Amino acid sequence: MEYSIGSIAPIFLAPVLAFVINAFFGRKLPRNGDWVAVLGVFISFIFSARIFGDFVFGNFATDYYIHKTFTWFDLSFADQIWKVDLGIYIDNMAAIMLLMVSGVATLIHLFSTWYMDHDHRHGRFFTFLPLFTSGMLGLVLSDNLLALFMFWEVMGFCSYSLIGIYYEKEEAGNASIKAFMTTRVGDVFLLLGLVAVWMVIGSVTYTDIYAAIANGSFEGKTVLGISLATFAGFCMFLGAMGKSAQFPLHVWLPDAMMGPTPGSALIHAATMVAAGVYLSLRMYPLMVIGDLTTFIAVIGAITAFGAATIALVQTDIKAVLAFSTISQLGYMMIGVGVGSYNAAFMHLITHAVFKACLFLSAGSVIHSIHEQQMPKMGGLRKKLPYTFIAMLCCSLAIAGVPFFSGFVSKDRILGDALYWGFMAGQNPMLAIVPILGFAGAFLTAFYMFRMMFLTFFGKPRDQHIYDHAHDEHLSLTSNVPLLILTVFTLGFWYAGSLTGQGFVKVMGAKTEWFKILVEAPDVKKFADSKSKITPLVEPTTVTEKLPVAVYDHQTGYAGPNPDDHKIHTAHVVGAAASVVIAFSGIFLAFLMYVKGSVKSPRSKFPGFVRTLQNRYYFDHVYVDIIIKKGLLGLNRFLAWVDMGLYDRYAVDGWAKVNRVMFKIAKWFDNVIIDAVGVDGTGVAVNLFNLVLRIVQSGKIQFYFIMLIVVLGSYIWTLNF
Amino acid sequence: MNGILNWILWMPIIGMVAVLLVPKAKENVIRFVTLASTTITLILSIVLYMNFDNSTADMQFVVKIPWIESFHINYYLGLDGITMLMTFLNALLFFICTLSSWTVEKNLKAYFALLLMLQSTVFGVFFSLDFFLFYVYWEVMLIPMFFLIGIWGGENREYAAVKFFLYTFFGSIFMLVGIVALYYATGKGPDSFSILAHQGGKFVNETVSIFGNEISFEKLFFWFMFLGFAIKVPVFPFHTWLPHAHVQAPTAVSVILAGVLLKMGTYGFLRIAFPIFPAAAVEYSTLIAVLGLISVIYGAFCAMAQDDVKKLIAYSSVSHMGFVMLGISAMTTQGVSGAVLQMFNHGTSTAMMFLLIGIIYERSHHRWIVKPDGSLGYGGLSTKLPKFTTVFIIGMFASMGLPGLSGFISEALIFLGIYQRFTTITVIAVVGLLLGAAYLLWMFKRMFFGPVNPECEEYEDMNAREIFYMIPLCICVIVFGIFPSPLLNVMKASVGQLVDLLAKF
Repeated sequence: MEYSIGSIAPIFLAPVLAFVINAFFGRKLPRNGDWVAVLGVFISFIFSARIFGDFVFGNFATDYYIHKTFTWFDLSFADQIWKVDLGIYIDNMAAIMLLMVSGVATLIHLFSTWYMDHDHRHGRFFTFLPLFTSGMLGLVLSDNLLALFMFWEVMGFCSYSLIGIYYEKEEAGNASIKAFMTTRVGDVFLLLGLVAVWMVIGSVTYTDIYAAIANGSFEGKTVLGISLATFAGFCMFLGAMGKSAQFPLHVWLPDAMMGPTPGSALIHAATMVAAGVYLSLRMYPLMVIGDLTTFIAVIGAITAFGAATIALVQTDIKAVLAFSTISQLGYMMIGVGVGSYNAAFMHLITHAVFKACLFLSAGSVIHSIHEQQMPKMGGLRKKLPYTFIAMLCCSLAIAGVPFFSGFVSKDRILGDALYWGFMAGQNPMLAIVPILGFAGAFLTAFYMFRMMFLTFFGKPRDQHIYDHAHDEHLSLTSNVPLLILTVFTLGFWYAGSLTGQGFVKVMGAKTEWFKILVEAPDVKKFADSKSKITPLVEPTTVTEKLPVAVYDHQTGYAGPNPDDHKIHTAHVVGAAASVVIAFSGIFLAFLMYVKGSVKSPRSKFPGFVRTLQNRYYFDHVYVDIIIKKGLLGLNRFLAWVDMGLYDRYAVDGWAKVNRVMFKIAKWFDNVIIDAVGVDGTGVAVNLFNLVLRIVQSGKIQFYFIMLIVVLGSYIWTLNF
Repeated sequence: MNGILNWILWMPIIGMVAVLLVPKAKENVIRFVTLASTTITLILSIVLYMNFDNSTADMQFVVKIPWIESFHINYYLGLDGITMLMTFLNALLFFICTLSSWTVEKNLKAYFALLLMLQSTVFGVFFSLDFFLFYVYWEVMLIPMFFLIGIWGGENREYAAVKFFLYTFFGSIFMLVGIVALYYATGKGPDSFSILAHQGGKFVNETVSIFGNEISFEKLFFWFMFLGFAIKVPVFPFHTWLPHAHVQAPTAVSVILAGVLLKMGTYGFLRIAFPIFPAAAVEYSTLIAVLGLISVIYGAFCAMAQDDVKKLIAYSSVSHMGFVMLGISAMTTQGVSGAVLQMFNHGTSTAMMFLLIGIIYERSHHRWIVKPDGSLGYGGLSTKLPKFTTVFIIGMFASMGLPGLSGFISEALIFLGIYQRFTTITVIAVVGLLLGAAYLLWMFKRMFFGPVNPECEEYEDMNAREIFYMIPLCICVIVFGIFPSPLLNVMKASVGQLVDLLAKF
């Protein structure tokens, strides 16, 4: 299929237009223009679906892509050629991503028209949400890191605005600034990484970077003594860590729940937070030659397990979901790290769907009972039957129960991690990654069903709230979006088979479409994508040729070797373990929160529970110690040095010295010259006297004198 | 078109004379005469832009008339791409400042007369291609500034005015010595005051003897020029006049000071210090970059500690001008283009910030984020002043360098440029971006978020006049953030020529 720009641009431009319309005229439109936002995003969905259809049902080829570029600006002058090209790059991964983003966004916009109705920030919400959507879609469409970075920051701005939407609340302001600044820590490094790649390779277009890797352009290039690939890859991964809330930059995401729940669903669950994973996947070849995959896997494992433990003790329904999001993003990073490229991306997509649905369900609960604390809920399944079904399916999906999407994707990540940690001949210490992964999976199943049981089962713990809960009726805006998302929590959509292991085929020939279409970019295919890539400048410091890992996505720890029979063992063991773990987690939650036959062990470990409730004291260390004591103290000190010390004593003191000099000159004038007698001494002294008299009249004139003195001495030294 | 520079240069003076002729009591006539003058200047600068030839780095619209023939001093004006942007910025900001000064009460006539005089002298600095003329404008500019701060300023205005004057003058002396040295070094010939004639590294091998020691002419006088311009920028450690001047200056003067006058310093580097002493510039570029880096980080740290919002923005100017210094010290196409673009973009975004602070000051009569007694000076402005908040967000995020707004492209280009020469400095300088976001967002949070401060209950939102003069700046910030080409195309020949020149040394 031929793609004109007109068939791709609306994906990005329709939400932008919706933003512009709502920003200028939103308040004059009926319903503050929320329907404009829905329409704009829906148009994106139509065009995305067309592309998706073409890629998945039409072409169905792994190496099919669309790449169009245009010049943004051009600094070329004479023989120096330098211009900045932007462009559109759609491959299978982008096509799937476009459909997911625009589809989830459409449903969330639709849901928001119900959820945000009668909210006093209704108009503001529907201004920023389409802008955010356009940012995410733009990011997916981009063919290069510069555009990615720009959309990345635009999303950060929208996230900031939506978290702080109830800005009269003190915590909302704090949460928004925390979210922006924490991600910004990563962002500046991402910028640094892209600058480094750009200036050495000469381009930040994905295909050019792949080509540079294939052609060995990264070899021997160093930055500050580190190999360029490691430096740039590390900087970019820091950006990804900030955006995808990876340890230790995860602290902003739980606070981000201050925003309206549908906003959290879109931004802080389905799309923006996944952008970091998306970046890591796009830059996967760079991460491999930069030897960063182990680091990524370890960070992912710590995040996946750590966030799951914190989620155990949360009582706020949105906080549970927030920590589960962090944890699931950790799984995606494990996937990136262990070379489970396809499964990591699949988990991104499946997670986006079920987590968006979970958040919307939570929103439905909150909207119904005006309460977020789970200890005050209970028994709500009778009041909210549709929400209950949606949330149950999503919880089963995230817990990794067979037939649901989470099982398909997470199980494959864990299977690959198992192989990577135990069988790939790695450092035995790295077995910690699969161990943490499986342990986190158990905790996930437990805390998700703790949430389910506390919310929907048992007797209402607060009868007043229960009695005043609104009964749920089927309606297009309130729960149909949930049910549509629920349908896509089933595993066969992604696996093509009900179990993900290829047993019961339901989609015919193209069953395993996801597995076939998405694969790690094989850089060799891009080697000639551009006739030549000329480095703009020679690397600043070349010390010696550092060994650079040779990229080969089919061997070594860059990815599991499909020919190795152990991988199959790992997958079977992993799948079995996953199933056992998921069910035992759910069963334990059932025993504790429904039957009550198992007592919660929390009273036995009060210190540990307090540590978890304080989120391992990260917020305390960052905010109270590093920022309030360290940074603000340093600021105050420097500001005092600047004005109280430097300006007051050095600068003004220098002026005082001049004033003293002026007094000496005056004394000289009055005492010496007058005493000696001026009359007979001639023109030279008279002139000198005249000069001195000017000095007496004020400070400014003193500088004119200095001018004459400096000039005079200069002329004198040059001996004209 | 050849005389158009004369018109732009003298139009404000015509306006000033007209203002002076109007009786003092007729305040509205004075206002509209000033507005007419600045509007005509703005239109002329747009006409100039449309007639500007992007393809050449040569001076355009040149006017050269002998002035003091015995010393070969000429009335010599010309314009290249870098000047073009500064001209447009100057014309735009004065037009806006006229509107923002509508409510000045004290001695309106003298105020507008001095403002117009200031505009003419700033044009003079940018247009002059003759050293003598340049120096005259550079110094004369101090006079209206001195009085504008000293008379219409805040409580401590005299101290600030004198400090501003002395600091700048101190630098100018060294610059003057440099000019005289160049005059003698070129043998007092017909081109000895021409800025262009000295360019191209003609003094690489010259030496001067000072007390018998042979010292490189270039290195010595590069530093003389450097001092003159660095104080104006201001580069650390010559920056302490700026917070005083900004805090005390009336709104319009702060806008002009941050928007255009600071750019005269960096313009001086690009037009005079670098092209005339290229070898020294290349040799000392590391030091300049380090000073720029310190300005970026130190300015940002100091900004974060400020309780006075105007002082905060003043320190943020130190930080942002540090980025410009980083860009020009990179001496690469990207770096210098980014620096010139940042000069323009900082002009528009900081002008927005100062204008907005002026608007809120007219309502609150104080500028405390946190009052000396520890209570918040503002709070909850978002709720009370939605229009004001929207414009403030645009200005603030432009200043922070959010992609899609103007500051990003210039900062990104500066980083691309500086990375090629000074990797370590780049790595440290990105921290400046982080701090920049921190102090602005923290300020914004304390002023605009939270419950409405009872003191702010009565504030009115922006009126039609205020919205009207913010619109051009909003457009500049957004449009040039998405389409930077109109600005980059104008300057790229001039920048390219400078980079080519520096690359030879």
